Amino acid sequence: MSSSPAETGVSPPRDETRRGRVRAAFLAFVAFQLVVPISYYLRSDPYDERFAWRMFSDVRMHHCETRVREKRGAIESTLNLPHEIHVAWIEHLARNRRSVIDRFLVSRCDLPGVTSVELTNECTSTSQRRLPVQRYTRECASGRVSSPASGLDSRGSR
Amino acid sequence: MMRIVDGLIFRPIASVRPYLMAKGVLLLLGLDCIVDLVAHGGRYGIGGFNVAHFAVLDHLVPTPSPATYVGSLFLISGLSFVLFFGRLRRALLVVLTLLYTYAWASSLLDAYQHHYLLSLLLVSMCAFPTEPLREVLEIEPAHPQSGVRPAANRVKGHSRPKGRRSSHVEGDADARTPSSSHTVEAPGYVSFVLTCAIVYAFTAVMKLDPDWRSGHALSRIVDPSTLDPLFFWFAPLNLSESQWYLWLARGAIGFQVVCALALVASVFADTSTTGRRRAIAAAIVAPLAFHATTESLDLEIGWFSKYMVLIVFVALLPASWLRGVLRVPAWVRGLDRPGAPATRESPEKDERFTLTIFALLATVVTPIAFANVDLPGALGAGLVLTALGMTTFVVEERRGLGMGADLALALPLAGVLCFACLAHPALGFGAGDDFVGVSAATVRYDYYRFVGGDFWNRRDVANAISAYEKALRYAPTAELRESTRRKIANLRSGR
Repeated sequence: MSSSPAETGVSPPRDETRRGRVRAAFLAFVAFQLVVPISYYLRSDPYDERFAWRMFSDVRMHHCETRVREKRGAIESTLNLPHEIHVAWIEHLARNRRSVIDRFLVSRCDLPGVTSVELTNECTSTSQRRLPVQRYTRECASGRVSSPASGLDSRGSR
Repeated sequence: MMRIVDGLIFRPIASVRPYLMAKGVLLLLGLDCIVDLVAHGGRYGIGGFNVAHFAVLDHLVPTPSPATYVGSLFLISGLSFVLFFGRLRRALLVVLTLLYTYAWASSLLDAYQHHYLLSLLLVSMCAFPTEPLREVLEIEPAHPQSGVRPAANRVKGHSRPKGRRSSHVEGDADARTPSSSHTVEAPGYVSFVLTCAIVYAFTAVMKLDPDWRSGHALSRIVDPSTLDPLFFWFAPLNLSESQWYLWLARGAIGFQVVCALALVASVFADTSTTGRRRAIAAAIVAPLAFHATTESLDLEIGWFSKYMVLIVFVALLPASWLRGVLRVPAWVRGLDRPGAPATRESPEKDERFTLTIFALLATVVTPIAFANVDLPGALGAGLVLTALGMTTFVVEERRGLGMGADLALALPLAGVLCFACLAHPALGFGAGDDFVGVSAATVRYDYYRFVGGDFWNRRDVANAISAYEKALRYAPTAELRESTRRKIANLRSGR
């Protein structure tokens, strides 16, 4: 059973090829918008909530204290972060943004004399519960990086 | 299946909706970039440190600097205003979309999710119909010889067959199509509205998390004092603070679900019965309540609520109301005046000379407006904007399209509005804490004091003093001038 254009509210097709292209582009665009946020729930990094429409999520509300220690030979020191990097980047470090942390560790290793860098985030959840410490280290000579295991614990999770 | 998909994508939409949506978003975008974003431009590229949203950008484009970022923002604002004042031009919309996406994607310093949303919306807008206002309102041009509009063509509801347009006549006896608006196929508009619905749906799903439903997450982002009005007005309910958080959190989920459903339903509004159209329009209460609450709670979400309120107004309200809104600019431009010739949108040959003079003046006025901004990158943005506008003007004139006339006016108006966003207090919408209140524009003051603060953090006293001295020049109140002076004095004395 078919319905007329007047009944469906759709005007008669003028150019099927054009319509086909528009339809394909439209469906691809909508599918893209569904796949991108859903992919967050399949990724290993719970802290990268970009493009997932998770504004004010529990993960975003974790409160973290960031500390950076670096070694220059045998001397170990704690960095005064606001002296080294813009506060906006410190917020990203505190939110466990891997790409920012990786770049920051590399930038510290680029400084003369630095042999290793360690960044730790001590976080609490929205209900003030302590979460596992997130520790990222980089050995400057070898470039070896260690990051926290993927995901969060059962109650700090997404 | 294909029939259902086509019934959605190619559904007739009142032509007033995509027109008003595009103009509204462009105006907000132009204001947003300058009033809300420029102030933070000084932190870009400090110490050569930057991480882009996409790793490929780190390799392809140089590290953004205050000049490139602020310049991009001014160019985005200028282009938005040009498209707001003039005709919607697909080529310029594509440039705007790419530029805006580059602006946020070039650095994680801009991590507002609604900026990504705006990029998606701009992509949809690139596929909007580009009809001029005259056609949207179905105003027939005057007869070229007599200057008098043929009476028969001015009957409300009459439509010329043109492209993919269709029309519904007011008072149509058919109850299925009682809309008074002329309609167009607008797949871009449908994807625009669906994009917003998808966002509302995902944000609602995310809030199903136990931490959100318990109110804990909300309590962490809200200043408890913002709940005082609720305690006052709803005292008889005798709810504790934690109970308010719980119900606000759960209410947000409900409102967002309604928002998503209402936006999807709005696509069908212009071909629905009167009853359904009224139900869809009534659903506007949900997004308005939701965004009024988020604004009153003073959440850090930039201009997200402003955009969404505009979008739900245009998507959900009856088309006849929206046409009423557009009558105002039509009246200002004299399009609706009996006997008005069609000069503004398709000039006659003898008017080309005047237009060319106007266009040449625009090439001078626009960069001058930007040169006086006194922020890095602004003059460059003015020059690029002028070059873009004039190239479009020349191309359209050489092709004999007769469409470039509006650019001669839109360009200088855009330049002046960009400057006015910084300089005139009355245009500083949203610069303070008010939702639609008017507050002193502090863009340049904020820009330079933020730069000064960052230099001070990094113990670069000389540059900090220099930045604070510039901030002093733009401090909007006597109190702020005094506090800035004290800061400079403290830096000079080494305190």
